[in-house]
Amino acid sequence: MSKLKIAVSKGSLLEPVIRQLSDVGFDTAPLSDPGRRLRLETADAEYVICRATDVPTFVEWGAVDIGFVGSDTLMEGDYDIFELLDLGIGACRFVLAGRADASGGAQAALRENGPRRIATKYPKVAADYLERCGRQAEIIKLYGSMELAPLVGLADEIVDLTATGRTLADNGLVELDEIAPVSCRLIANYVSYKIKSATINELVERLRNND
Amino acid sequence: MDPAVPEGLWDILPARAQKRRALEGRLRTAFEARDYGEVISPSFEFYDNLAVETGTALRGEMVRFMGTDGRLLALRPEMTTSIARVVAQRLAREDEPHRLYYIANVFREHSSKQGQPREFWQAGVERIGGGSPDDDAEIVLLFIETLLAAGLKDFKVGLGRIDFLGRVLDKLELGGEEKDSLRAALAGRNLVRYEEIVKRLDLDEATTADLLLLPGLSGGAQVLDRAEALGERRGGSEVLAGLRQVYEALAAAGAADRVILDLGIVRDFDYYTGIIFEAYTPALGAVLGGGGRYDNLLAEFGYDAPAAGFALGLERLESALAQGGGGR
Repeated sequence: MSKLKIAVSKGSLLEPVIRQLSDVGFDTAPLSDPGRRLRLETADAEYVICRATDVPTFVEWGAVDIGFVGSDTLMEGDYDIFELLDLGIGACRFVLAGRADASGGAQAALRENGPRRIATKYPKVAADYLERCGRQAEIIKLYGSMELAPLVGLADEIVDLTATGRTLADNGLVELDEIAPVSCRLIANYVSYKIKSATINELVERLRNND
Repeated sequence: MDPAVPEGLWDILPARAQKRRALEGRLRTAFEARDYGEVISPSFEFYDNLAVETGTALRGEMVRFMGTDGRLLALRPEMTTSIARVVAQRLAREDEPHRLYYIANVFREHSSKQGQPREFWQAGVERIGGGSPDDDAEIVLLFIETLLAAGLKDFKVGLGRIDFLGRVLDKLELGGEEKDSLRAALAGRNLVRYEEIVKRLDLDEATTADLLLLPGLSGGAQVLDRAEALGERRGGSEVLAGLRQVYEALAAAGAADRVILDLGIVRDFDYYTGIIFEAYTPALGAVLGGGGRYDNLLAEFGYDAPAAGFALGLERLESALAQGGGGR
């Protein structure tokens, strides 16, 4: 049986994912200091280290068998992949946030049903949320620093990820509504999961029992 | 004039066209060796005929336009429904079974999926008449023969039953909405959500444990034993007995090592009623094609007959062959 091919995302999930893999017996030593290398081979697996938003794409097309990625990325895309396990790590939340000093109080925005402007890096998550609660809004796509948008009048509210709420508070914003919890998921390519189900299911069980 | 084609359409130039025609020739030979005869049907038909029972996913993906008489027309998004219409309309007086094959282009409004842009090609068969486990095995064996004839060596066929999950869910005291959400989670391949829903249902411990077993029922012959134990507790035993007969017929024909039994397979078509199967190769991240039994589709056109068939994507076969699926 060929080695399992695994995609892991750069950034904050990299370290906790490596720790989980190491806990369940994978040789992860070369991963702890990858340098500039994007592909690494260990005794028991082949790794691809890529942007979080690219992990599901590598998995969907079968360039790797499995991947570790935040459910925020999965919610924002539309991927034909297996979602196998919630690892519980990297936990945060999607929230709707607005200016703390909004006229009539921050929550007034939620009661008002007129079209609003919402800035976000996650237009699909925002649109799904608005649809679900029957609100109307123009969605403005930004690539970073969403907290800025309400402060300079670009948008009324933002849809963003928050773990502790500190960045929001530092910028004079308050959480108006929780949209969805987010955490790291183990995903698998459809065909890989069908052909290598024994290997992948064994990994799922080991990760599930690793606390 | 700006030379351009609409997005998602490809021109196939001589070098590739030659390979394509050679591949088609190998498939044609395999189909005809088993007495299947070719059907060439129109590329577009009345929308209502193509939309019958085909499943909501494809209904939304059809390329539609208006005929001069104001009736809605559509380009075929797959061939099974067209062949069912042809048999009901033109072959009703002839003896069953009808063994038919096609190599045809189909059209879908979707973003390109691993070699399947808005127009892509399928080769497949439909066997109208005959609903026994041996008839099922005949179709699966022809599926395997066809893949071998294409030149593929390293592949597996997943085999399951579309109706097993339904039998198990029907026996539980669940509301329609709860059943639909479980089905949707499995169809969306979201086992995290499936587990969340099962746990939220607050059923007794044994039932919860059995429901959590369902998506993992995949592997060799021993999967049937596990599934049968579950079937005796939860229902669906007769479905599994049918699957066992098909599997035994396949094993007797020496094909057991090609087959992965998998009760978690859900295909994207609503018309399936019995066995379902699909082909995988490590050389490609997407299924090469698949098929199954569809005993209710012909009746939609006023000709009640059991039927089974399969389709393979030619672009995906080509890409698997190019990636080394033909063996090294």
